[in-house]
Amino acid sequence: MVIGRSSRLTHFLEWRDYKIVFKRYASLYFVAGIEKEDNELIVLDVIHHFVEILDKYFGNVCELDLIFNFHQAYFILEEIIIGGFIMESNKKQVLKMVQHNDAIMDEAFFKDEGQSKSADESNKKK
Amino acid sequence: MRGLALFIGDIRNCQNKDQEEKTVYREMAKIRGKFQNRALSGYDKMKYTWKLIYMYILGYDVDFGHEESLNLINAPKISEKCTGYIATGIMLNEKSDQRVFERVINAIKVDLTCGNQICEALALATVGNIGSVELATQLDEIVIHKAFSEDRSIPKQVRKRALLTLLSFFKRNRASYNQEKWLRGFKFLLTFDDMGVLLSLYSLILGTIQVMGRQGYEDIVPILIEKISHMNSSAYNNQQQGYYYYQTICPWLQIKIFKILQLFPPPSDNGHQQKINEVLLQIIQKTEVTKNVNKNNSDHSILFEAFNLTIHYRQAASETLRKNIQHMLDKFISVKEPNIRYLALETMCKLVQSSSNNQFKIQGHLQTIITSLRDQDISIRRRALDLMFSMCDSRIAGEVVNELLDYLQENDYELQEEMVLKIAILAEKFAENLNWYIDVIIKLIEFAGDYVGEDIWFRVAQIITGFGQAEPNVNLQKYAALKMFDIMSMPSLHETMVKVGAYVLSEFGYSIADLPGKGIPKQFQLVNRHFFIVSPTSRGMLLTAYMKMLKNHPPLRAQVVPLLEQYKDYWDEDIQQRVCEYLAMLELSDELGEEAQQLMNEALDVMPNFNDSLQTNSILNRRILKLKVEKGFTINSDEVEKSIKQGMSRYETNNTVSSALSQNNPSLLSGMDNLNLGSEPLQKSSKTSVSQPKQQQQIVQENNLLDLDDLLSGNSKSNLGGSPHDLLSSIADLQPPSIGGGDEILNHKFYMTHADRFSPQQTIKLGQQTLDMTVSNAQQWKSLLPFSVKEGVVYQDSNIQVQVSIQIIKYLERLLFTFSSSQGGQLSDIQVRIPTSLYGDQLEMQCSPVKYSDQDPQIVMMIMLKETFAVSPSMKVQYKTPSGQTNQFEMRLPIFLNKFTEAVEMPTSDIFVKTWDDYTHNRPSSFQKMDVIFKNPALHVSHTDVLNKTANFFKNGMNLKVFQDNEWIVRGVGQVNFKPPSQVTFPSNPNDMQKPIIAPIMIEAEFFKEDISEFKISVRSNDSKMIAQPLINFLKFYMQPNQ
Repeated sequence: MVIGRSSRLTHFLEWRDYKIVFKRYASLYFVAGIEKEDNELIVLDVIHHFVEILDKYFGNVCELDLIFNFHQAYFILEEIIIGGFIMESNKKQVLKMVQHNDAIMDEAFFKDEGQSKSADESNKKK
Repeated sequence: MRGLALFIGDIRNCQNKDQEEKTVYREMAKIRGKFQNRALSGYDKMKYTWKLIYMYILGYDVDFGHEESLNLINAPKISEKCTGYIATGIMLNEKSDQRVFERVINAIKVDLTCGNQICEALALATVGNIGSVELATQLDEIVIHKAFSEDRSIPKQVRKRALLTLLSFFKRNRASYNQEKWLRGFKFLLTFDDMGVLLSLYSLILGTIQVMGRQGYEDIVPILIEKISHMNSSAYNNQQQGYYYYQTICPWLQIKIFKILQLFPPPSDNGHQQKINEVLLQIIQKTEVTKNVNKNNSDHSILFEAFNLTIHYRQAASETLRKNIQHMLDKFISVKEPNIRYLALETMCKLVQSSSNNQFKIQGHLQTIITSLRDQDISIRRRALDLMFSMCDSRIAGEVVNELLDYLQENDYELQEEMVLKIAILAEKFAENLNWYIDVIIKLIEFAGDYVGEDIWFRVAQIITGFGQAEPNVNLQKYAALKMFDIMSMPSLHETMVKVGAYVLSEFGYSIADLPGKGIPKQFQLVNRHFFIVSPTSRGMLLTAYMKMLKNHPPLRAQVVPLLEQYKDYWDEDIQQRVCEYLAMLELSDELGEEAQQLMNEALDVMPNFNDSLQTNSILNRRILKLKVEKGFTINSDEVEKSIKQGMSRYETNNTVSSALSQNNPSLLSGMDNLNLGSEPLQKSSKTSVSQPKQQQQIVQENNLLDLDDLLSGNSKSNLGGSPHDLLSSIADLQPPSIGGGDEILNHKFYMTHADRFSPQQTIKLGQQTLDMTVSNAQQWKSLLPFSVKEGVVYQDSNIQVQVSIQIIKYLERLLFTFSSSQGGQLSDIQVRIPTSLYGDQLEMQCSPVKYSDQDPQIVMMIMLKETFAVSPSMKVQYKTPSGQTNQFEMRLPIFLNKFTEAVEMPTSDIFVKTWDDYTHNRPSSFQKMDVIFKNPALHVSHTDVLNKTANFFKNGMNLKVFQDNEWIVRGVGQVNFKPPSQVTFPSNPNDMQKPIIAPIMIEAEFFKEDISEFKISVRSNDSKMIAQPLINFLKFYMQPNQ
């Protein structure tokens, strides 16, 4: 449903009793399902907020970073959203936490990043 | 982790799905083996667990590894713990193994109270994400403590997570809710400055009040107003710089505050009201469109929330505010940026609904909104339609309805159904004069007949007939009759139109009978032209209409009676009974004279007025509510209720309408029954003949007996002998004589000699074919209909070819249509329409939007079987050829009962025979038992060949388990799967499918030694679904095509 939509259309889709809000970054789609009373634009902000943090963390993030380091993406997401609600809107705060966690994890975890081609990843949030 | 990266790389290198599956399953097997090894290092466990997570998010079912996740949670290293928690959060849910789940909860408990804030935070995040009832009950206490404790030493990382976890618990389990405690917690935390904590807190407050109501929480309002006012003041300078998002101070926080305030009435304190008004005004005046998309998004997200709050405050919001909003929305609904336009349309809809008596001058914008109604984005079109519906009032109703009718002709199938309903409601609600209303409904049927359900045309019938005790609106009736007279003279009409025409002309046709060229015989002729193109149910209605015409114009009898005779042994019981009753009425009126004549006249009298209560409680309003619930259009029930109320008050105030409609009579049921072809029209429709009901029943019974005698004695001979017994040869051409079945079978020579092979209780009579070749794609359709055919060309002409591929799982059928141009190039603007409303009770149908890509355009259609149906549905398609020409065609879909069948495993034919005999002799007559004599379709080959072919057809055409024990008989057994009521929506994957309701099929084809020119086909089934008749028709269609 999302992928078939042209960029000139709204970023909102009405689906059953919910709305689907999505944002596209190159070939990467971020999709969120929200309730119909929720504020659509702020959800776009949540997505962008997440992307900016990913960007800061990985340094000019691309989809390969997310595919090969999907575990990192999960760690970061956990710092931003819990049970579908935004927990921290302060980028610095989130990054601080993530980096703090990284520091105490063992080194082995981050060695040997691979490389390869491209694909889509869609991330489901509330 | 090298291993993980390699694995991901491997998967991404796969060329196709098969390869990917192989790689995944190979890896899964390997990991399964590794996990057997107890001495696996923490690093390896972590690596394999991440691989499993990756497989899981690719959509594979991972049913092991929970144990290892648990081990990881218990590990001392943070990285392992982290992995364990994430794996648990993603892969574990309430359906998982209880014992593992139990131990996970224990591990979480330990971490939650360990004092290390990182562990606590991890545990809380996972628990909050899963948020199951089980977790909620067991961990509530700890989480509440961490959230609300006034111990300021609790780290804010923990506090934030605890608050959101509590919200997640609360949504599933309210047992631990205690208002006093929560309110104390809220008040304590509201004094915090940390925006992160506040953000989580506001979410919790919002979630709590949404569910529990605002009572008791009123004190929070002033605090929030202070906060938002402070945040928006120029003096505000937050130390926590990171909370600015594109130079806006934490938009999330501001939106939460506005959302919470919308749950409360306007503040009673003037000071507070003024303060919030100032904030709103400031936001509304200061928000500007900038070049940065993200800044725009965040600023406008606050802006629209400010709109919402202002609209919520209604009169309490200042005049300036309201004017500003109106002004900005006016502007926004015509901007190019689609998101903003979408939100503006939605918000304007709210504005219209909250404002009383058109304070807002929206009318001037109708044209702007219509542009959005034609937007290419379905989201925007929906909003535009809703807005037009909401803003409509008596001044612009005509214009709105005309615009919508115009648009209806453009065949926007995604909106069609809703549009039809909305137009019907608007036309009724705002009818200054009812002639206009009738014109509108007629156009609806003309433009989108498939979407005009019974409720809509019943409503027209009600309104023309009148309500309660009012004098009938003779002018309206005459107008309707004239109108329908003209329409009925058109050559091809939608079935619904024929029904309306038949109803109106039979009821009120007399009022125009004196006009030149419009006499009742002419009216009869016009209606009768459509007789053979409508379904049996409608034919029943037409027959009733003929009787009513006959009453007004007795000479019609010469034409009506032969028609009735024709239907005396019709397979449809309702029609048969009705016809017999009518014939009996006519006969009796001849014999008994005056008295019976009078009785008949009363029975066929003009429809009495409908019950008063119907006048205001329109079926349409109820249905639109239902439609909303089903389809999830974003309009709350308030709107519908409001529109119902508006409708009512309009009836009370609007004189022209109420003179036509104001009234009281308990004849609702009788009226609807007659419209809807009730089984006993004679008794029910005659409300005046209370004194003579017994006599009437006698007439009916006598007649039924006579009729049966008649059939048993003579008629069957002529049927089997094939001699023409029809009275009207023109009808005989169209109506093939039945080939046996029903009572006739009992006289058949096979029955005489082999009575034990038949059921003496024939429950169904075989009648007319319900499968026929009268469609443009008849050949293709016929070849696609057997069960085993899964793909092929379903329609083809010089411009277009439509391929279909069919997938069937139990009661669900999925059809993928591919539209390709026969002359190269790509087709565009494809629109399809399916008759959802005609088949509403039998099939659940849904079509995807057309998918355009490099390949030919495709759509997917999903169907669920609810009830037996007799005729395959059709689909209308409109498209544009590569050269730009617009064409349309209609094709019948390869869907029939046999597509939903399934073989049943039955070990031996002995069991079959035993069950069969039980059904035949012991089960009550409500069970479906049907024996039919077929002609041998190929006399020149041996009968065993015919039997082999039949066996083959049972197997491939109907997907049955087949037994062929000897050269005289083949047997097939299986079941038809119907959708259970618990399956409300279309399943997204096969695992979501519920247990079907099944109707067993047992079928036999048997030759008898003495005469192989004919053979017997028998069906047995239970009484849950009426499958025997359609299946026999299906066989007949293939095995006796010329009969």
